Amino acid sequence: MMTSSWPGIEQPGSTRLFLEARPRLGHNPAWVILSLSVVFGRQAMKWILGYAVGAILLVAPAGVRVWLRPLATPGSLDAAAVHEGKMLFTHEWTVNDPLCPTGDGLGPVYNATSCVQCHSEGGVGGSGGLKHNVTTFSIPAARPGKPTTGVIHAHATSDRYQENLTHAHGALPHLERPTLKEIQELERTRPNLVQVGQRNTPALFGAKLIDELPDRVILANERAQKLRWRDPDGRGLTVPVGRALVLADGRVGKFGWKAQSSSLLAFVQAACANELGLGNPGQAQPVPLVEASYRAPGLDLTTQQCQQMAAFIAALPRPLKKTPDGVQGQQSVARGRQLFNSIGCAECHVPDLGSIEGVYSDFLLHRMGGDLVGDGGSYNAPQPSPSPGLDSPLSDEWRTPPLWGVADSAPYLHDGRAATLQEAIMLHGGQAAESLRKFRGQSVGQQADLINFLKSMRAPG
Amino acid sequence: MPHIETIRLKPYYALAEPPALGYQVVEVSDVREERADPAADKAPPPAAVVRQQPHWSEMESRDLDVRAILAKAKLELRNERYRSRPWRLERYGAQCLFYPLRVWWRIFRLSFVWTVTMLVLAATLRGHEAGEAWLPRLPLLLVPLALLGATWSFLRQVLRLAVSGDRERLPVFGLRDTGVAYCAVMAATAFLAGPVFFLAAAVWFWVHAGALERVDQLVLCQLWLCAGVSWTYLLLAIDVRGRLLDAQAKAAALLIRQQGWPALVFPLLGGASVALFVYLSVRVWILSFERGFEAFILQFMLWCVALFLWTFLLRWYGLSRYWRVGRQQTSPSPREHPAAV
Repeated sequence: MMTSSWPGIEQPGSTRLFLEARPRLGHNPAWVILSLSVVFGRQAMKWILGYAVGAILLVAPAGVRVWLRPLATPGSLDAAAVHEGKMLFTHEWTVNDPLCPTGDGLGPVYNATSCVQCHSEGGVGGSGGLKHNVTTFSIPAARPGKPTTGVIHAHATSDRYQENLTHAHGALPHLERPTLKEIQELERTRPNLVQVGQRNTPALFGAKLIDELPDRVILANERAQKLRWRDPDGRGLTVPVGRALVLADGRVGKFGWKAQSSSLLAFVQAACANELGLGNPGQAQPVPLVEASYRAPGLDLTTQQCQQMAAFIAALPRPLKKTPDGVQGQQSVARGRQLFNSIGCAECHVPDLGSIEGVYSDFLLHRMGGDLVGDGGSYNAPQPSPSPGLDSPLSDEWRTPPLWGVADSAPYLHDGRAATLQEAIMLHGGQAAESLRKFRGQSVGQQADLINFLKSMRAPG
Repeated sequence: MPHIETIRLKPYYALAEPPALGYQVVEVSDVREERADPAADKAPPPAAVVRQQPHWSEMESRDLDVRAILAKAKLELRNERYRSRPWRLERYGAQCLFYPLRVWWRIFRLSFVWTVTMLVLAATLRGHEAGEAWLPRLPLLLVPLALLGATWSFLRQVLRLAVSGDRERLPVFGLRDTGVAYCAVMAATAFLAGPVFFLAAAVWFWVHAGALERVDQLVLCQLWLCAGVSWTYLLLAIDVRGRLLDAQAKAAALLIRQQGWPALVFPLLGGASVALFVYLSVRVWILSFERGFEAFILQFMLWCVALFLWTFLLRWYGLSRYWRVGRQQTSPSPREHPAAV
């Protein structure tokens, strides 16, 4: 057995075999330098090397900084916490619930009695139908400043706490539990500056991957979009340049229709408070609009309980890609994927972001045009305090929702106004208008391919 | 016989238009009449001296000579416009601050043209994807490139006039000069030979840095400065011999070795100011989307300040070389001065 001059390569005593196994010259820096010396001459090579070394030294601080950057490591989940979290997630909460020893339990105002009541489509943790929509409102302040925003809850533990639209603003009709249709009809009659809208329940599958996504990946995508479209302020109305919402804690918003939560735990805490009326260390429970003097006896949930629920949601599997069985169906999906990229959908619905494959989102706020205006409310969570120079989300700005599992998350868009995927595409506007124009320019068959591609993204359940 | 200078020009050099009134017409004697040495007449005259027998009449020939003289006179008169009243040559760096004031009108013109071009280009290029219909917009790049050439041509004249210790002539700004194209090539070559590398590194780092901390901002500043300073060094290195091949580190190192501290300090200052100027221009570009007029005014002021600064620095840099040569010549040291190389 002969050992070659190349480390780690052992060759039998055959020259031919040795040559075949020899790595390419380009893989060895010494060979590269030697070859260049022959081509350029030794003196020139000296200068070229000196030049290169100088340049590398000057770029070294950037390299060191990149090298020392902490890597995103996937966190492990505590099985016991996940088990407890599942119990809390599916628990039917009641007034003075035994799981809330210091608080008042469910309410006084709420939208559902358990998490799974809304998050059930496609399995536990999935999205919700129209009947679980949440009604939100936004009223500009009389003086310049932050507007008043909030949720008009569907239920109350007592009739005297029951909220309706009139409680939000005197000019609005006396409607309890308004449907989406009623809200849409209000568009014509409501006062100009008062905005009322609804939010559809989002699916929670794969939330752990989103939670672990480093902020810099989202920011990198934002900056790349700015460079690609040469739109440095990211406020263009016609080009798909989004913006990351930097919250008060300095982190980038990743969860919620308005990117109002930077972590899964914060999202869980906001949802528990707003939907179930369970006050927790992250967010206080909402005070009924009709009883501003209401004071909760204490917090309903502890930090540990919130973390357990977040652990359970983090343990939910990620959505799947299910291609049809037939060859024709598979080809249709492949063509649809190609079309998805070519007409510009992938500009915002980025297929792979950081380490997440197949998420189809950039988690940036995009302006979606006049047809998709919703209230600028932030789900009653603490108002995002953007970094200097940035504003709160505009009424037509929405975070790009991940498309994974989209086939099992109807209805679509922020308030579920689109019953089908085709309808959802047709309602895109603003920064997505150009893509919509291209989509409309496709043949019926090509449009069907795109829909088939979207339908291949299924919930894990 | 009085000596009369004769200028020989080929017939195609004749003016297309008749000479304008106001010039003094000088009679031109025949070539053979001016030769004082009779022996020279016997020898066969060199081909360059003896005029070939023209195929037109003698009258026409004299007319052409007159026209040639008039053309030269006109050219000289034109150049006179750029010759201002001589001033006392600057003796200290601070005195060079007055030099940009002598060319303030040219600086304003250049600033105005740059401002309009930049804002129009920014509005034109915004919102187009990099690969989308790139070819039709490619000629647009020629406009800033030509302006870059004109700017460097202007600044190069400032430097050259200073190096020669000139205290009469002023730099000219214009797109008609033939040197502008070469200056544009010089600037582009110097940019591609080094700064583009640092710029690419800075952009890559900025994109992937995430939320910028103080350290990240420092790293970005350093890369940005490297780009600006290296561009200045390479431009000056090319300028020494006018060779594009000198756009390399070796030539820049030789420049410093030969010219001493001025070649170290002034490019550093100039490069830093270039980097700062580009950064501020980007900020103004962002502002231009919402407040166009304010952005225009700010960009115009930025250009004015930058051109004043660069003119001042180049004048000082050039004069420092001139002063040094003067000191070397008056000093008893027999060693040849490197700046004279």
